[in-house]
Amino acid sequence: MSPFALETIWHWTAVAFYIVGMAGFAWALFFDKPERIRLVTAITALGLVPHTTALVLRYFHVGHGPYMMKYEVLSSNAWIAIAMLVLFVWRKPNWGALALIALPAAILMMGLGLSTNPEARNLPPTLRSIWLIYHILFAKLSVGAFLMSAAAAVALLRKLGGASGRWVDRLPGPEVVEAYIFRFIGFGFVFWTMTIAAGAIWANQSWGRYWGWDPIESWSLVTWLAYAILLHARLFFKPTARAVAWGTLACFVVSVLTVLIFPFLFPSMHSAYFQ
Amino acid sequence: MTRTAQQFLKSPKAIVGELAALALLCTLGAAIPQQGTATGAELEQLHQAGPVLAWLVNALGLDHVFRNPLFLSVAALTSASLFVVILGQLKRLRFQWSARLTEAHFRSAPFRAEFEVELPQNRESAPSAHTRIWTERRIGLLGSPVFHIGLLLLIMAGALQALFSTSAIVDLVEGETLPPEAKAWGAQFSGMLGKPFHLDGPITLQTVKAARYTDGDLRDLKIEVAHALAGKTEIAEIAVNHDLKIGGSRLFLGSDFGPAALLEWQRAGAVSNREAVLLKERGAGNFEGAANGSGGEVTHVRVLVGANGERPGGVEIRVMKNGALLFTGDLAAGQAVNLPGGETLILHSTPFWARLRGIRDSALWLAYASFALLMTGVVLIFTVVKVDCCVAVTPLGDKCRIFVALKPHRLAPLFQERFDLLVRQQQEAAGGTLAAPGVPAARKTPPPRWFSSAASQTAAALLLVLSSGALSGCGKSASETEQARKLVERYNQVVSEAYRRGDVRLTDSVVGPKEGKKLTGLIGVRLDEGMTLDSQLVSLEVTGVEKAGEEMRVRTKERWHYCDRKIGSGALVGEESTDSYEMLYLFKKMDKKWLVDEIQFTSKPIVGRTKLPFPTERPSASADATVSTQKQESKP
Repeated sequence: MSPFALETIWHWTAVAFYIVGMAGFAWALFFDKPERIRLVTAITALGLVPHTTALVLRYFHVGHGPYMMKYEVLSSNAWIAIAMLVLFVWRKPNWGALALIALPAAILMMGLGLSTNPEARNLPPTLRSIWLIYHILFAKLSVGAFLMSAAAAVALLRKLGGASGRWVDRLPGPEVVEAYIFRFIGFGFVFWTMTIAAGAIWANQSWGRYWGWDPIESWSLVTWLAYAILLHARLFFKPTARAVAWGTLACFVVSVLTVLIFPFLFPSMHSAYFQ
Repeated sequence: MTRTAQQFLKSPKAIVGELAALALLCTLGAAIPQQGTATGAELEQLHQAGPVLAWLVNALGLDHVFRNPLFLSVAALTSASLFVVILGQLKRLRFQWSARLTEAHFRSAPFRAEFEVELPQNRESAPSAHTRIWTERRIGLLGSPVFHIGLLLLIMAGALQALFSTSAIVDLVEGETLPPEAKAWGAQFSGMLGKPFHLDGPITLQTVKAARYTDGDLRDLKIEVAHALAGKTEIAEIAVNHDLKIGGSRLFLGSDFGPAALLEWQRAGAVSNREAVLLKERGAGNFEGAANGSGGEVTHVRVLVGANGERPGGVEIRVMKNGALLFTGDLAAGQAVNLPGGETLILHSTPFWARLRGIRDSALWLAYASFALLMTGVVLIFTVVKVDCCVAVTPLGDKCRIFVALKPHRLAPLFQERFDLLVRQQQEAAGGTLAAPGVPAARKTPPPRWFSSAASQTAAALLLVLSSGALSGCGKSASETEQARKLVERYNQVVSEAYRRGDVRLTDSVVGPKEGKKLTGLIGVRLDEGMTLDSQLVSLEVTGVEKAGEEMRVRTKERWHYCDRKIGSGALVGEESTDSYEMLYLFKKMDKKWLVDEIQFTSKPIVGRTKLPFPTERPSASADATVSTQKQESKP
C-alpha cells in the first residue's frame, strides 16, 4: 500500500472518531447526560491517535513538518484545535457545549484539507530553519486558541440570547464565560506575538531583514492589532458581554482570513509555500 | 510636553483610536499592491483600475501606504502614547510593588467570605486574633510595562533601520573578486541617512555548491568566499539561512544562483567583447539567459543542470539578429563558432554565479532585545496574574470568626476555584466544624454598560476594515475581457519568439500538451528546411469571451506581418506577408495556469502572400488553399 493511501486511511479513521465524538457530545448535552461528557471526550481524544499517525506518516513520506500544502496545513491545524478542545473539556466537563461549535469547525478544516492536492512538495532551502518550525507551531497554537475563544463567544451569545436547554444552562454564568473568552484570546495573543517574532527572526536569518511589509506580514499585524483593540477596549470601556462576543467573532474572522484565505488571494512570499 | 497633551496621549479613546487607525492603514497596505513588494504589472494594473481609484491612489499615496505621511504620523502618535503610558505604568508599578496592604484594600475584593467555626473541645489553647495579608504572583505586575517597553523599542529599532540601515546586492561569478568600494555593488538600498554599503576589504567568490532533491528541486545552497581580515585571508562559508558577519556588516545568500556562460565575441580588427551571461532557473534545473552583442546580435543561452548539481560542460546557444536565427547548436567550454558576418563566438567556461546581499543595520540588537521584552511581557500579562489574599481570624470563646478575601488583578471570575480552596484551607486550619453558613462571596458590581454603543461601533469598524480588505482583494481581478486579451497577447508573444528562435521549449509556459505537440511539429518542419518564422502582431481585438469553470473561449480579430528567414544569414525566404485572421482560442486551466489547448480559425483567413516558402506535405487544390491550410496550423 502506498504511503499516501495509508495516510488517507488514518485521516478518515480520525474523522470518523471526531464525528462519533461530536454526535456523542450532542447526545450528552441535549439529552442531559452530563456524566457521559468525559466518555465522549475520550472518544474524541482517541481520534487524535489515527490523526497523529497520519501526520507522522506524512512526515516520513515528505521529509518535513506539516507546513507546505493546504492538505498538511489544514490537517495539522485541526489536530491542534481538537487537542486543545479535548484538554479543556476533560478538565472542565461543564464546557462540553464548546465541542458542538469547535469540533464541526475542526472537522470542516480537515475535510477541506483532505479534498485538496496531497502532492508531496520539497522543502526549499529558505524553509530549512528551526525558526520556521517555531513560527508555524505558534501560528497553529494561536489559531486553536482563537477558535476556542470564538466557540466560547458563540456559546455566550446563545446564553445571552435566552436560548434554553441544558447544554447552555450547564455552562457557567456569562461573566465566567466572558473571562474564559479573554483567557483564550490571551493565549492566542501570546502565541500570535510569538508567531510574528519567530517569523521576523527567521526572515532576518534568511533575507537580512526582520520586517518587509509583505502582504501576509501586514495581515498578521492587522490580526494582532484587531485583538489588541479588543483587549484594550475591554480594559478601558468595560463593554457588554454581547459586544465582547461579537468583537471576538470579528477578530476570529480576521485571523482565519489571515491564516487560511489571504495567502491564496494576495501574491506574497507566504503564498508560494502554501499552495 | 504639556499636561493636556499627556492627558490626551494616555486617554483610552486616543489609544484605541490609534490602534484602529494603524489597523485600517495596515489593511489598506496589505490589500493594495505596494511599491517595493508588488510587481510592476500589479502596480500598473492598480493605476489603470479606473479614474476614481487612480486618483485615490495618487492623492492618498495608497501604493506606498507604509511610507506616506499619514501612516508615519499615526505611528509617531502611537509611539508618543506608548511613551506616556509606559511612564505612568512604571510609576504605578513602583507604588503597587511596594504597597503595604491593609484589610481596607479587600473591601472591593470580588471574593469575600466570613464564617464562624466551632473549635474542637480538646484544643489546648484558643487561637489568637490575627490578620494575614499576602500577595501571590507579584511578578505579573511587570507584564504590561515590559510588553509596552518592548513595543516602543521595536518601533525605535524600525525607525533607526529606516533612517540609517544600508543594504546592497551583487551577482558574483566563481573566481570573481568584489572590490571594497560601494560602486562595486550592483544595487544600493540605503536608509534616508544611511551611507552606501561597502565592505572593508575585497571578497572573492570561490565556489558555489548546490544540492538538489532527486527530482531536481533545489535542496540546499552554499558558497565559499575568501575575504581579507586584518591582513590575513580567511575562507568562510555562507549558506541560505546562514549569514557571514564581517566587521559591522552581514552577507546573505538567497536562492538566486545558476551557471554562467563566459562568452567572447571576436571580430577581425576590432576589440573583442566579453560578457558573463548569468543564467536564471526557469524550473527543475533548466537555466536560461541572454546577452546583447556589439553588432546587434542577441545570444540566448540555455543549460540543464542535473540533480547532482555538477557544473555543465557546455551550453545550448541561439544567436539572433534582427529577428533572424544566425546560429543554433551546442557549445562546449573552450569551443568557438564562426558566425555569418565574420564574427567568432567563443565559450570560455561555465562557472556558477550567486547573488549576495550585504546589510548593515546597527539597530538590529535593539530589535532582538525588543522581541525578547515583548515575548516576556505578553507571557507575564496573560499567564501570571497577581492575586492579593487576606485571612483574618477573630476568637469568640469556643468559636472563631474567619474572614477570607481574594482580590485578583485581572480575570476575576476565573479565580472562584482558587478562592474556594483558600476557604477550605482556613476551615481545616482552624480544626473545627462550620458553625454558621458562609457568607456568599460578594461579587464585584457589574461595570456600567455605557460603552455598549461604542463597543458595537468597534465591532462595526472591525467588520468595515475586514470588508474593505476583502473588497480590495476582489477589485484586484481584471475584467474577463482584459484577462483574455492578456492571455492571448502573452501566448502570441511567446509563440512568435519560439518560431523566431526555432525553440519550441519556450512555449511550455503557454500551451497545453495538445497544442504543444502541434507546435513541435510546425517549428521542427521549418528548422528542417533551415528557416525560421519572423512574425509581428500588428493589431489585436478581442471580440468575445466565454468563461465556464476551467475553460475559456476567446474570439479575436488579428492582423499579422511575417516572413520566413534563412538560418545563418537571416535572408528572406519567399514573400513577406500581412494577414488578417478571425480566431477562436480555447484556454484550459491546467496546474493553476491558463494554457492554450486548441486554436481554430472562425472564418477564412485573408492571406497576403500567395506561395509558401517550403513544400507542404498536404496536397491541395490551389496555392491559396495551401497557404491558408499552412497558416492555420502555423499561425503563431
